[in-house]
Formats: sequence, C-alpha cells, structure tokens
Amino acid sequence: MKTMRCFLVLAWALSLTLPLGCTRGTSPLLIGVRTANDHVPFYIADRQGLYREHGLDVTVRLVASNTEIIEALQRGDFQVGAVPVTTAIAAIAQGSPLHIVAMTGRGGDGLLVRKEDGLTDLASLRGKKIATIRASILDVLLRQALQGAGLDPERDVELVYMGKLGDMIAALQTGQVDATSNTEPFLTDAERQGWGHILTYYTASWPDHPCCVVVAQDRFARRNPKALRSILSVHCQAVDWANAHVNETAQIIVDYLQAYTPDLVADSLNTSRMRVDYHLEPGEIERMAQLMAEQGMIEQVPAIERLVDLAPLRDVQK
Amino acid sequence: MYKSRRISWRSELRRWLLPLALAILWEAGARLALAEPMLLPPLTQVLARGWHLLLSGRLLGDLAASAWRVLLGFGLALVIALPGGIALGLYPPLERATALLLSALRPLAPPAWIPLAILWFGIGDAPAVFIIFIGTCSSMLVGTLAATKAVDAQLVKTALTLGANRWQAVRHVILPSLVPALLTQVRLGLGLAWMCVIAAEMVAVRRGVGFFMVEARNLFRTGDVLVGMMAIAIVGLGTDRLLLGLERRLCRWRAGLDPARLYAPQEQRP
Amino acid sequence: MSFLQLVQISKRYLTNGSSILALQDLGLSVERGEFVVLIGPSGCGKTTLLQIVAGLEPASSGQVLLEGRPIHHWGAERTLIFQQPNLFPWLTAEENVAFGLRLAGLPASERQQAVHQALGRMGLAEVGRLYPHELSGGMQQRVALARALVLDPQVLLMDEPLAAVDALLRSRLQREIRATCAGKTVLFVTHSIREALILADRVVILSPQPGQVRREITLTGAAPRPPTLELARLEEEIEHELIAG
Repeated sequence: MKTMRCFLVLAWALSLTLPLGCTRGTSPLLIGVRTANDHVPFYIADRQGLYREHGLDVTVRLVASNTEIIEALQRGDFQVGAVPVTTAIAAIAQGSPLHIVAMTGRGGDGLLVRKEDGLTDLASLRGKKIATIRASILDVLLRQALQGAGLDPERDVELVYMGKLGDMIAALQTGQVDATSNTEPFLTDAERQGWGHILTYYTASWPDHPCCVVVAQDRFARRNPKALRSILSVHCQAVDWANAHVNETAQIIVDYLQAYTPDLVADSLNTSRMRVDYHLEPGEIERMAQLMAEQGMIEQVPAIERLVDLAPLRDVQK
Repeated sequence: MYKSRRISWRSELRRWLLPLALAILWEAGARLALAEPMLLPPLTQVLARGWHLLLSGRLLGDLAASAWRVLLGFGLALVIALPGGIALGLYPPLERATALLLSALRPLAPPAWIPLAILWFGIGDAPAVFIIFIGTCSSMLVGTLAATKAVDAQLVKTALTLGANRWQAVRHVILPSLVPALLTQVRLGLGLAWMCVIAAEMVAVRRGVGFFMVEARNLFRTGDVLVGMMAIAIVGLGTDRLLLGLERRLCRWRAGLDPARLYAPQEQRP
Repeated sequence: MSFLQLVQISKRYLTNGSSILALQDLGLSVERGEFVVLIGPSGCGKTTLLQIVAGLEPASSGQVLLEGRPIHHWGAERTLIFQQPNLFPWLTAEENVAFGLRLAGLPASERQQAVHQALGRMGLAEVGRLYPHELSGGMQQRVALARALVLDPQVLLMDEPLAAVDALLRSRLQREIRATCAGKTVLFVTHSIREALILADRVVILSPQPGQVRREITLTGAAPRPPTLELARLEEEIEHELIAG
C-alpha cells in the first residue's frame, strides 16, 4: 500500500514536468495582419485550421495599421507579420530586426477618378488634386507613374495626404480631390457604383509588382527555424488553395473584412488585377527599395541580405 | 556687488542642472545600447538630424504651417472666449442660459471633433483651425468665467461709490483685476492649441509638425519624431517665456501679493 | 427739512427660505456739517444702513433724502469709505486718489494738483508713487480717505474705517479725520463707544434685530474730545444700556 502511494505521488510529480519539457514552442505564436485582400492566405489558414494541422499554436491577429504591426514585431509581441513591401523596407532601413521571407500579394493598386470628369490618361492629371497615403506603397507607385507620364509629383500636381483608404474615396466622391491612389476592392467598388473610373493600374508600368510581403522577426527566425518554415508551408498551401477556389476565397475575404459582396471581391481578384502569391524575387524587392531611395523615403538602399531572407521559403519548397 | 553676481550664476546653473542630467542620461543610455536604436536614438544623433532638417528648410516650413493654424484657431477662440467669459460672469441670466450647453461640450476632447471637422470643412487648414478653435475656446471660456466671478466685489463697490457707472466699473476695475487671470488663460490655451494642432494634423494636411511626425512614424524614423517633439517644445517654451515676460510687465503691482515670496530667499529691498 | 434725511428705512433680507428684518422704520435727520456717529451691537444693521445711504443697496421701503431730493442709486456725492482700504492694487497711491477725478473727466493738470493737495493734507506727499502693497495699513487707509475727500462729497459715509488700525495709530488718525472732515457732513459707524464719544457731534445708538434708533446723544465741545471723567461715565452708561439690551 505504502509503495503504491509513493509510486502514484512520484508519477503525478513527473507528469507535472512533462509540459516543462515541451514548453519550447507551445506558447502561441502571433501573426499580425491587416484587413486587406492580399492578406487572405492568413484568413484561409486561420479558418481552415491549417496551423493546427502542422502542429502549430498560432493566433492570427487583425490589426488596423501597418505601423502597429511593425512595432509589435519589434517588441516581440508578434513573430510574423504581413505588411506592404514599402513598410517592410522602410522599417528594415531604419534598423528593424526583421527580414522579408515571402510574398503574399501582388498588384491591386491603381488611380481612381470620377467618371464624369472624363479624364483619360495620366497626363490629364496635371494641376489636379490627388489623394494618397504618405510614404505608403500607394505613394511610391503613384509618384513613379506620374514621373513616367512626365509630371513632377511636387510641382505639376497637388498631392493631398490622408490617413485612411475609405477617407480618400469619400474625398474623391465629394469632389474635395480629383483623383486618388488607392487599392482593391475600393477601385472595382467605385466603378460598380457607377461614379468611379479606374484611370490605370500600376501593373501597367510594373507588371505583377509586389504589394504585401510576409516578414519575420529575426530573433524568432533564429530561435525557432522549424516553426517559421511550418508557417511558410501553411502560407504556400493557403495561397495555392486561394488561387484554385476564387469564389470561396472571395467569401472568406468578405467575412473577415465585414464589407463588400463576394462577387465584387471575386471580380477584383481577377488575375489581371490582383493576385495572391508567395514567390519572392530579391530583384523586385531591390527595385522597390531603389525607388524609395530615389523618392527620398529612405536614405540608402539596404543590402539585399539585410532585406530578404530566402532560406526559409527555399527550404519549404524543396 | 561681487557677491550678488556669484549667487545669480549659481542659481542659473541650478536651473539647467536637471535638463543637463537628463540629456546625459539619454545619450549614455542610447550609446550603451540599453535600448534598440529604433526605440531611442542617441541625443547627438537627434540633434544632428534636427540641424539638418532646419537647414533644409523642412522643419521651419512645417513649423510655420502649424503656427499659422494655431494663430488662426487660437486667435479666433481668444476673441470669443475672453469677452464671452467676462460677459457670462457679469450677467447671471446669460450664464444660466448657456450653462447646460457648455457643460455638454466640455468633455468632448478636440480629437473627438476631427471626423466632423473633416466632413464639414474638407481638407487643408480649415478642419485643423476649427479643432483648435473648439478645443481652446471652451477651456478659456470656463476659465475666464471663473476668474470674472472671483473678482473682488468690494473693489467694484468702491469704484461705484467713487462715482463710476456700470460700464466704468467694468473698464476701470473688473478688467484690470482680470489681467493676471486672463494672461494665465492665454498661456494655458496656447499650450492646448499646440496639442490640438498636432492631433488635427495627423489626419489630412500637406505640411505641419503633426503631419511631419506622422510621416516620420510611418517611415520608422524615431529620430525625426523626437525632432518634431523638440521643435514643439522649443516653440512652446519660447511663447511661454514671452507671455511670462508680458505678465511680469503688466502686473508689476502683484509683487507684494505673491505667497511664494514667503519661501523665497531674502533679496535686497529698495 | 434737514440736509440728509432718512425716512422710515426698512430692509428685509431673504436667506434660505426665511426672511430677516435688518432695519425697521429707521428715521434719522442729519444737519449740514454735522458729524454723526452710529453705534450699536453687531447685527444692528449699521453697515446695511450706510450701504443704503450710499446707494449701493436698495431699501425695502422708505427713502433717503439729500437736500430734500430722494436718492436713486450710488454716487460720488455720498461716497462710502469701507473698513478695508480697498485701494486698487494695480494703481499707485497717486493714481488711486485720482480715480474718482478721472471718472468725472477732470483734465490731467487739475487732477494732478488736486491729488497732490489731498495727499499732502494726509502727510503722504512722498509716497505717491508707491503701490498699495508697499504701504502700511494705516497709510493705505489714509490714501483711501484722501481718495474720497478729493471728490468733495456732500456726505461722507465711513464704515468702521479705523477698526483694522492699531491703537497707537488710531488716535492720530481720529484727529486727522476730524481735521480733514471739518465742515463736512459725516455718518461714521463704529463699534467702539469711546471712539464715538471722542469723535461725534451727535451719537446715535441703534438697537439690533431689527435695527432701530434707540437713543440720540448730542455732545458738546470740540471733537476730538480729550478723555474726561464725564466722558468715561457716559461711556459706562451707554455700555450698560447696550448690555442690558
């Protein structure tokens, strides 16, 4: 009897140490994403429980602003995030301990005007007011497009800086501005409503340009390379699924954004306008960084190894 | 004479001791990498960046844009709140009529007005000016009202019995009595105006210190954010000093009524 | 008809739902140039009465007649000197004294002359440029007196002006007041029976709640009166009367 009791107590004590042995990697990992079309692979992975299937305890957090995601990554509150490529480059240029590890979305940004104004090309924007978000990808691509059409962004047009995508659409509709550099699905939505006209997509001058990327915190990548690769594996799986199931993907986007209708979103996901992808080319990241340096948003172009870490994605695709 | 000069040198040093200590702490802490460079760049780096921005004209341009909005919004608020507060203080029926409205508007912090301001006034200077106006007007109105009600009634009665009519009593007794309180309201209001302009600019403008700081944050330039803050602090300090100087000149007669004098070190009396 | 006539003055206050009758049908006649002192225990409405004569408070009923004409509101011809000097702290002594003259629109040169004279009479010629906070209590009260006298009022109302002044200074100021107010009609309020007997041509004793004239004593001899046995006896008599109620 006594020995039995001793044994039970010992077994109970031992069982308590079991979680200690497994703590490495069982505290939930946090991925910060925004409510945007091209972050849908994360919504899919979240909804379909793909992380759990790979043995990961991951929470996908919806955050309102890109800057907050980067700041949370720096603090270590998030381990992985999805942000526009320009945000990632700006943060890394200022010394953020992050690396770009994969793509999540391409294209989908363009210039919207009012149909009634009858504007046909970029040159007709001379002297007009254009709403954009300062230092965002919308800003970078807009300036590039304007310069391509022979317009000086500082002198030949009047740029109005606002904070939110929706505010810019409202400003365009009410006539406070004449054009806005904006993103899907706002663009298709405005055209569908009948008052808007998409002047151009930036993919016209840079086909398939990167839009949003996946970034990983350096410390997390160092300490837990396996978990990072698992997360990327899930990401690739979700991207492939999204491209194969456009309508269901549209529905998922509607559910997470709590806005728009599935057919509108599906329309904007039409491959020529906006697509999800995970492939990453260092060259295109470098090109974006160079553009940002030319426009004065960063002082120097960081070394490519500082910006991009292809190893995890490569490992996953083997 | 030599002795008094030595004393004033020491008291000047004492004034700078605390800021100097903080500056050294900042520089040392950042250099020793106690914090990540993105969280707190070294002070010398921030100052160098600030100098660069000053020379390029960027900082001054932004300060001028913000200062212009402050001038308009605060100026308008001043013109309405000071006479308004005095009027409310002198006519209780008027105060009763407006009390409910004023109490309701008070808790609405200036940022709460931003969406409405943009809706009504669109983009540009107007919404920012409106927000500064709303924010500072109600605070100065309440302060002026309180100060007016606190004017010594005995002094008013004295003026009357010396032959003043109501208007003369206001002009020769109530207004001079209120000068110190009004200057305090202006000082407080101006500080509030700068806070409002920063909040208002974070939404839809082209230039301005608040806009500059939002842009800096979006580009993760912590140094620039700090430069913006320092610029505002310096401007605020400058205007505050000016107003204090004005108060000292206009209110020389207060010297004897200042309770702090009891605790001040003994000075030479004429 | 006397110079200043109070006709059945009543004053009722409403506080916290109840009403207090401060003065009831109070009547008083003052001749031109007379120095009348009002005394009585606290709460007998002395201050209220002065405020009514000054026009700073309305009477609930009754009239105040000056040279036969009823008064309607405040005026410099019936100026009131308060217990506190109430000098305007943002003005120098000179500017304080000039206050009433400025309001009346007197040109600067005449103003300066009158002010200089008034301050000189009070022995304050050198302190004209000082601010009130730089003057002692006694000096401040003298400046207040000069400020009122320079207006040459028809009636001078004084509400315990020497109450806040120390004993040594008080007797000196009492002399000064009688000297500078020579020939003026004065209504002087004090709580000190002795002071009343020293200063007054006529002492009016008021009874409290509600305030009414209890007794009037006309005094002989030039004021300020030196302390005599008779004066002391009178003081004791009045004191007993007041205590007895």
